[in-house]
Amino acid sequence: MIKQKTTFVAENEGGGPSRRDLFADAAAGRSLWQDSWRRLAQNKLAVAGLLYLLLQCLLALLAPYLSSYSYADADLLLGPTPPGGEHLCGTDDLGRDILARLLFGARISLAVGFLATAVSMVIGVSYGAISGYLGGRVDTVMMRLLEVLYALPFTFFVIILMVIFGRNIYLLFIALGAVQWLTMARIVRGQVLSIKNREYVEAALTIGVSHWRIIWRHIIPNIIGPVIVYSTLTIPVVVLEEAFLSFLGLGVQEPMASWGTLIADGVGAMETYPWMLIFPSFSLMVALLALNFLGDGLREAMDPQAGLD
Amino acid sequence: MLGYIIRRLLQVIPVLWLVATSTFFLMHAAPGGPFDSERQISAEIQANINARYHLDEPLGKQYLRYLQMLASGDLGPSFRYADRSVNEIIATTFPVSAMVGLIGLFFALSIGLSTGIFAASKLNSWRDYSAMLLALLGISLPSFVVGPLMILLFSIKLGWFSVSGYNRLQDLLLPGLTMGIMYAAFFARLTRGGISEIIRQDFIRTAKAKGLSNTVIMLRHTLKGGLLPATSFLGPAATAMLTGSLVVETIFNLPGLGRFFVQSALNRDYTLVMGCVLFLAVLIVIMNLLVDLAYAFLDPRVTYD
Amino acid sequence: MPLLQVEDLRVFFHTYAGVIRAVDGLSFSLEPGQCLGVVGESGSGKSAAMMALLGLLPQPPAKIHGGRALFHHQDLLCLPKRELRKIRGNKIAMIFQDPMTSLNPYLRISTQMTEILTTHEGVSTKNALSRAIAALEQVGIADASRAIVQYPHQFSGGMRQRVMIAMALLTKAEIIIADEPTTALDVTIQAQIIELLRSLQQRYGLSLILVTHDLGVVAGISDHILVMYNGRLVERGTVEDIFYRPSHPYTEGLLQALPRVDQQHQHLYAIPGAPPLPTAQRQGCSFAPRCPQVMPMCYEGEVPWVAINQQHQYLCHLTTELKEGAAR
Repeated sequence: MIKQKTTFVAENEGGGPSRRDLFADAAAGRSLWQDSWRRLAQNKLAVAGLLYLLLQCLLALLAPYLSSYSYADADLLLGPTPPGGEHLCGTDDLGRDILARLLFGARISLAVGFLATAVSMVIGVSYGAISGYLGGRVDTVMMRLLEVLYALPFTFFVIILMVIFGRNIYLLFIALGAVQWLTMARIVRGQVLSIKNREYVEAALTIGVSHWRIIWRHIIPNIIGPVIVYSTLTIPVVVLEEAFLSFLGLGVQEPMASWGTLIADGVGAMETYPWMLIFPSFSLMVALLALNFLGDGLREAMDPQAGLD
Repeated sequence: MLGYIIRRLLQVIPVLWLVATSTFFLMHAAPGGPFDSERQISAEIQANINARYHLDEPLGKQYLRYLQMLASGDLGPSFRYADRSVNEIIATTFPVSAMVGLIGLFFALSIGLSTGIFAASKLNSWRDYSAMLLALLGISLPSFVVGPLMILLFSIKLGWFSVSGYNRLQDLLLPGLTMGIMYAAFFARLTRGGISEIIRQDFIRTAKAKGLSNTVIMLRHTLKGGLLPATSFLGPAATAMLTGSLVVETIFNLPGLGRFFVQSALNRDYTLVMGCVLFLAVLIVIMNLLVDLAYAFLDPRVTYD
Repeated sequence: MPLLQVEDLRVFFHTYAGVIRAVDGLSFSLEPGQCLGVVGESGSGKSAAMMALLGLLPQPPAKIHGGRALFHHQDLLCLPKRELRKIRGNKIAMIFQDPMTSLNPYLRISTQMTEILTTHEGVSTKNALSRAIAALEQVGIADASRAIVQYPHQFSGGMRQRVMIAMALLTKAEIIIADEPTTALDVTIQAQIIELLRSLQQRYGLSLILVTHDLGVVAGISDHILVMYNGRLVERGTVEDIFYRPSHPYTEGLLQALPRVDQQHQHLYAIPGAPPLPTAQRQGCSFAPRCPQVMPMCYEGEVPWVAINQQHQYLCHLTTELKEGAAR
């Protein structure tokens, strides 16, 4: 009998994300992370969002060197000037350069976005992981508490906090972060619970693998994906929330600016100096859009099976 | 079922207690009271006022007094609006907020669901992609950006609506639309996602094999399950509409609950602030319950007991 | 004249990973009142072929690259959608593999049954309901008038498959295609469902196409059997031909892999190797890498059909003479 080795040639490699594609990738032995990264890189909107955000962060970081004006330099004699010439985006009613205020405002808005999200991530992941891993009665109690917390009008609490303790930027980070962790906790808890009950983890436990090793080897790698995706989606929510508070006059204090305070100033002057409203609104909108593009792209890249939401 | 509803409604009690306690102590921990930013008043008058509102009593006693009052359904007198009770203020301002919220919810649902269904029925076509791009744009449009721009366009430039204030019912149209736009985008995404999930299911293939038309398949077989994600978002959306009223009422200068809340917080009007928060907490619990019941109606596999 | 005549059906899937030739030149015919068994492992293209006949494959990625499927002088493959819809569920009904997921969990059984009659025959809902109840009784569901207002999740798997069969009976379909109707069920339930299909077929003279990966399922019920491997028909014949005179090495392997009660202490035979990647290029016989009787020529060129008689043919280089030679 003759044995002959045959090779099977797969016709044309590569292409967009699809189930078949996943199958082909698995066959090619690519890791899930590389795979997600490749799918993200193919999503034009997500890449555009990422690039825009990097640019915006860079501009915000370099704000003092980029602008010859400071956010606080008032020039009452100059007063409000329309965009063009010396002041690219015009000046506000106190004669302050709007571009400079936008660049410095971006610092506050983005910093709040990232830091408050980090706060929410820390609280949410620990709460969810503890609840899910311990399980049993602890889990029940912790989830009941979460249910009760869901029913609280949190934005109102933040407002009360800001009123009571004054408009303090650090308080803003913590308050906003402390409000946004509920869903993160639920996601992490669900994920931990399902991994904990998988056969291979149970098998590992029965042969005496330590809890820390299970957490390190099985649980953490499996929750990183959802945590990254959900965090990315939290950032725009927090940026929005900060702008909302600043708009109500409860965010950062004059002469400091964030996109929210600039929009609030703009609303007051929109009939006479519309540029004061239009530029900050536009900055906020584009940043939110970029964040949403990126978040959506990440979600699809990490979990191509899931639908839009 | 009835037992479940009663149990859920009883959940209001711990929520209310938590809210009442935390806000009470927070407000009292704050430096400054409701009457000290005013013009100089004599120590005697100050003492009188404090006595009248029991502000001279120890904190613990004030707390118990407040809880007792709450138990009888009384939210107390407003510190700022001297002769009005908190109950009265909520009763007059809430209808305005509720009306704006309902209009907003109407826009959100009608625009959102139709866009979502449209996109899902043309899944992965250019129409689907442009609808979803539009929705992504929509969720990046906060009300305090949309609102002023709408006033600028429709009221100032075109003169279709009053610039501010609430005299006629149609004055609530623009605020409602402002509030609804972002949630319309969320609903569109959720609807599209839910339906595209259902379309992949085996039972849709069965429906096709039965020779049903695409319209019947969409309306009868797809929609019920496809709307579940949007349904569960109704609760958070309704809550957000109430929160959103803070900004929209400020922008459009409407005499609603949201604007009163912001004002009272800035004025340290303890009882009014707490009254508003408590009232909203109850509303949220009830709305979440309604949403869960709607969910059970749509999905026969979900039962509560 | 056959009720359904399929000639050279080709269904390809165009995916990013390459072209999958799911069905590659399938021909068969179904006589009235006959039961045709289609056997092959998963991925052999048997289900794809049946779905293609009714236009149920999502296009893209699927694309029909040729062939004809004649049913009452109409080619199913090029009928306009409207016309095809009149046939689906009415003249040709289909029963699917997983009764757990094939019924809509959000709708009552009554809705899912009556809509077939109201769509195809335009009868009143009331009339449709009484006929639906009668159909449920035919498939052995007790207390049918109460069961019909329930939701699928209130039924067991076997009951749900009975409901699916009742649906197929509603319109007196000329052909019923059952796609792996027992695969998702418990073994005892499997036997009941097959028994039900057999009795219904005999009682009503149904024309049945039974698609399965399990030779045991088709043994007692089919008149003719098609054996498919990797998108191709490799052998066809009557039940006796296939079970007593299997000729293609793949069919022989399948039969050896069946557990037998009359032989004890034997390891169950398994065909060595695994089916080729679906995107693999086609050269020669795709069973060659796993074939115990492989020859060099098997890897090249076209494989010829060997006709033993009018009904029994197989796709292989090993002619009957060669086989007899090897046996001697």
